[in-house]
Amino acid sequence: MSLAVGYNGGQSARHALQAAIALARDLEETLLVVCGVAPAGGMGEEYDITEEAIVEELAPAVNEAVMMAREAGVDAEGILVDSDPVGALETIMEERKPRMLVVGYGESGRIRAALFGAVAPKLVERSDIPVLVVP
Amino acid sequence: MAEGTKPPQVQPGLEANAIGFVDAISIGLNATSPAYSLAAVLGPIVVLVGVAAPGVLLASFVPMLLIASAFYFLNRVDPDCGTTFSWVTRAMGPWFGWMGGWAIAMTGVLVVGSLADVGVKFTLLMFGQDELAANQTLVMVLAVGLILLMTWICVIGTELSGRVQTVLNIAQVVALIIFALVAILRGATGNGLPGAELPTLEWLNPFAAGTAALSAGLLLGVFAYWGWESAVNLNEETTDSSSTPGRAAIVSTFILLATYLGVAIAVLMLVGPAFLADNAGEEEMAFALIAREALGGWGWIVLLAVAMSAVASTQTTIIPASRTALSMARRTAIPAYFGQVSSKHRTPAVSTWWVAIVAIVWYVVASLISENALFDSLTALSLLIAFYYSLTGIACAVYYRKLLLTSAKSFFLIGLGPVIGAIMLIWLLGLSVVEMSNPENSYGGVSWFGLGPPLVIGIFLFTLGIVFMIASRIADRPFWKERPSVVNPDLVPVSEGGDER
Repeated sequence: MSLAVGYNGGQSARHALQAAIALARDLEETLLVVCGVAPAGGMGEEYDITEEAIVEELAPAVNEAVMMAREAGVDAEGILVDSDPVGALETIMEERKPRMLVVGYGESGRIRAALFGAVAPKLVERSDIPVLVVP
Repeated sequence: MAEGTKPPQVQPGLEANAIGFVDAISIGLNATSPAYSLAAVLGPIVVLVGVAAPGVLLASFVPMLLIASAFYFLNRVDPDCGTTFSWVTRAMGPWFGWMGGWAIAMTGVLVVGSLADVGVKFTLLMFGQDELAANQTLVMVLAVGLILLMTWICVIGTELSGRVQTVLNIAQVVALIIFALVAILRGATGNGLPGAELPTLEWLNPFAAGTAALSAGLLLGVFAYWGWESAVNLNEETTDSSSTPGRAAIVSTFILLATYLGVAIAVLMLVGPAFLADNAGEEEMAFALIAREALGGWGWIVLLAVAMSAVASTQTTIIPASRTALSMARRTAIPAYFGQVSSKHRTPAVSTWWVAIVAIVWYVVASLISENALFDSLTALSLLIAFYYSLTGIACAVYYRKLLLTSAKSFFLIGLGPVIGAIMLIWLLGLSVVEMSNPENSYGGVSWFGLGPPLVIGIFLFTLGIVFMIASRIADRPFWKERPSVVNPDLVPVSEGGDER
């Protein structure tokens, strides 16, 4: 079994990562550091090259997170998924069957979250395993 | 990269839910934003060609169809899921590729102001604030605000959910069809305005109005279908098994054509070309006047459709422009600065903001110095679209040249069709340039440096592009070492002369 944490290098994601590392260590679980890298705005023009740029931006952050976990004595693996952040965690949920998801609450204000949606509430709605939302 | 970690390998996400018939139709409509397109170009087209407007709209679809075929076949073999910039560079080398990319980025710059302008005016009209809508300064300030808002939406990568988009698209077309039916009914029962006419077959003859008007009208017609080619590709990408996407592409094309022709015919039957000529100074407002004329107190339905369509099409217009700029930066055709992405929002944030900044400057300057800013920008935009479409059509034949003679299908669909489409557009470009170099033919009779304003805008943007291109060449970036190649036969089905197994 494993834990999966959604990570994009942002402030909120860092908090989630710290909580997830501590939890994975206590539970002696593998930690999956999951990052969605699909360009926002849908398919179409110059999609792949945009994704490449995003991967270049995010892969080091994910690697860094994995190293951090390993230094804390946690077996960790970084996974980039061709999907949005919610879709990435859903994919991992399906394929790796983790026992819990860990995500940050996000940095968007309440109004923006209400208008455009935020990762945490969407995940809670769609997940069939526990979701830990870190403030 | 830290040691002991794997190189970035992206794993595919879960497959999106199979796209249903209605959704696929919606995608086809979304890319063209029919309500906004009609509001922007129908007035000018009728003023230019009078009762031949439906014929012109029909005729502009022909090159569009042929070029869409080029997009379809190039998209299939380009693993980059690229667009004109990638393809043309690959097929015809960096010089043509650079100009193609530049043209696309500039279309974004030109269209954003128009989108915002139309969005603001129609929103004001919808609330009955006609006086405010006629206040150019106020409209300009609000439009700049709207551009910033729309750009921000693109930067934070927010998408309307698929279902909302579907509802908006269908509602848009339904509003237009209601409008068309009511207007046709009123016209047919003799309740049109004085000057309204009854339809004849002549309306479908694009050549009825003479070549000067025809070339300008056809150019605007090309603008009306702009984006349609991406619908063809997207439908194919989302294909799972069934023939749904293919059928949906045909149906959405049919809906699009029927809507355009229907609305054009309806406008002529309700108010006639004279009314539009009288209101020539306020192109897009004319559409609002007609909507109210037709539907009375329910006219706001059409105004709402146009406003929504203008705002919603941001994503289909700003995103391609900014992604092309990003792609050019990544391949070192322009400075790497433009290739920066936001890791938080997963969007090409820098190029998106630049598109917006240049667009705002452009929109404000154009509004201040031109009496028909919207029309001039749209016509200049159409010149750019015709340019990069024809470049794409030629690139398709050039890229596939070794396979063209292997089957009738590839000869006609991949070679001849796109090239004929490209020649039609080049002919249109040439004709328009000749016509526009005589300011007497220009829309408002305005002249800049003895030329029609759209042509001046077009020449200005091209020259600017060439200057930047030469600067990039002098900087000797690696991009300029790219050499033309041909399509890899392994990616092409055997039926079209390839080796794909």
